[in-house]
Amino acid sequence: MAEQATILIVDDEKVVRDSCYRVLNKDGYRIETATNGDNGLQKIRKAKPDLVLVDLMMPGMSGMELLEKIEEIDPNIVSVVITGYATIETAVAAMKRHTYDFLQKPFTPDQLRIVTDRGLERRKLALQSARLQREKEMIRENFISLVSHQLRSPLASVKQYLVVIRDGFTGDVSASQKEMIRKAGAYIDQLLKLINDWLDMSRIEAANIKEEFEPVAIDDILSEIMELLKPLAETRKISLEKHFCDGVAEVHGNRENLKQAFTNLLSNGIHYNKEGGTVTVSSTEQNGCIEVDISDTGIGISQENLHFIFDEFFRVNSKETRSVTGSGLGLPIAKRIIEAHDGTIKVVSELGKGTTFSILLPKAKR
Amino acid sequence: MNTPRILIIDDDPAFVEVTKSILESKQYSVSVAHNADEGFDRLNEEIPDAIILDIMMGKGAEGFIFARKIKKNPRLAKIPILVLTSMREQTGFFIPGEPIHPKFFPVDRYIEKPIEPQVLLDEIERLIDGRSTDAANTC
Repeated sequence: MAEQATILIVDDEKVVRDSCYRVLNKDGYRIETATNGDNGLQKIRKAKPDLVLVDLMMPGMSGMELLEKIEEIDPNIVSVVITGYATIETAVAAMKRHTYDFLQKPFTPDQLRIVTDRGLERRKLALQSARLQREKEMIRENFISLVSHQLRSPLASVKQYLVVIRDGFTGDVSASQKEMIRKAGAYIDQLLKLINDWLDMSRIEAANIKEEFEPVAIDDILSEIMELLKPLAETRKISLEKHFCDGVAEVHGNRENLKQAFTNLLSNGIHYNKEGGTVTVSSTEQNGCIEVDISDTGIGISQENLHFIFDEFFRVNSKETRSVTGSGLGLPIAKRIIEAHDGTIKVVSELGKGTTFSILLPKAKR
Repeated sequence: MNTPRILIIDDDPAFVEVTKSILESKQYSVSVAHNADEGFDRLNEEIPDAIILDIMMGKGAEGFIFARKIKKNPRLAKIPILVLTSMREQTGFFIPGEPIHPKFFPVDRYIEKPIEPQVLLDEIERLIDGRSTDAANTC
């Protein structure tokens, strides 16, 4: 809001415009007036007022219509309705259009002052919060780019040097040196994966990914993922089973994000399993939803840890999990993605027996 | 062909050093430019057998503009370009499942950073061998 607040008065009665003008002008506001809705709309676009006083009963465009248009132009403009017939119905109708307050004709100069002062105070807060919101977003985005540039590039360079040494381009390398370089490289990969996961996580905001929603056949994604994870399952001697419902249930969603969510869940089922174990993926349709269950016969999660598994960076620390590397972001990412699709994810687990994740996603409307 | 000459254009000294040492180990003669302007200076001095170009240079994708200019210059259009992309590394943004390299400017081959030495050598060899048969395409 500029130093001097701008107030627009839209009323077809000259006497109302003039009296408002006199009162508010004395208080040092910049005043604009309009005699009807169309004229008011022009002035709103040109003068960008902080507060608009709108008469509900005007020839031409009605006050209600004007309120709707104000809301479209800038929802932070505070509007106050002037009405000669303040009934509950008009009050409700106007409030639905985000009107801030009322002035019932006839009103006194003091009533007008109180209502405008309060309205402008509100405007100030609204603008302030919008500014803070913008700043917060900028900080977040800067941070994302800082992480991607400043952390990743040096790591990538370190890795590149290691590869060149490993492959003997700078001279002979002994077997034991090679092995150490391989290990160093694996740690760098782990770090890069952590950074990538964290970046993915920051980017998965419901508002962002919804723009790319399309019909996605869940069973197709699940089959694809199972195919991709087959080699991993085989090396760990885990068998993958699927029980899909008939028909091609589709959700409205972002294919790649959903794939990532289910990949995280399935690979957890493989990693935290026992040799010779099973991961079963099943899908069923019910009440306009698709339920996907991913069950493993693995090590399970204790009741006290179960509360934390969707927390960022949380990892169960036990003898069985020590050999599995991970960032502690797989489940939080999956949860975020499912929730961005208006879905839910639940988990039941028994230590030593296995874990089942149940995902509910709303079916796409045809 | 005796010692093929390769021009590396990349503003990242670490990658330049690494790429250079890989190529020199295989008897390539390597010259280096750290930005597009230097790249054109080098090209005025001599025409290399291939260019290795990083697209994410300077403030943005300076390499894109560089590649486009080369392909529009009749004297340079036939030099094969191997593009190094680190789109994902640099920006963190990529579209899963889609080729990293958007086909909106004509280059001959591309590989993604970090590079595997053998892949780099294979690609360079393929570019230099195929140069005589490949018609320079423009968009």
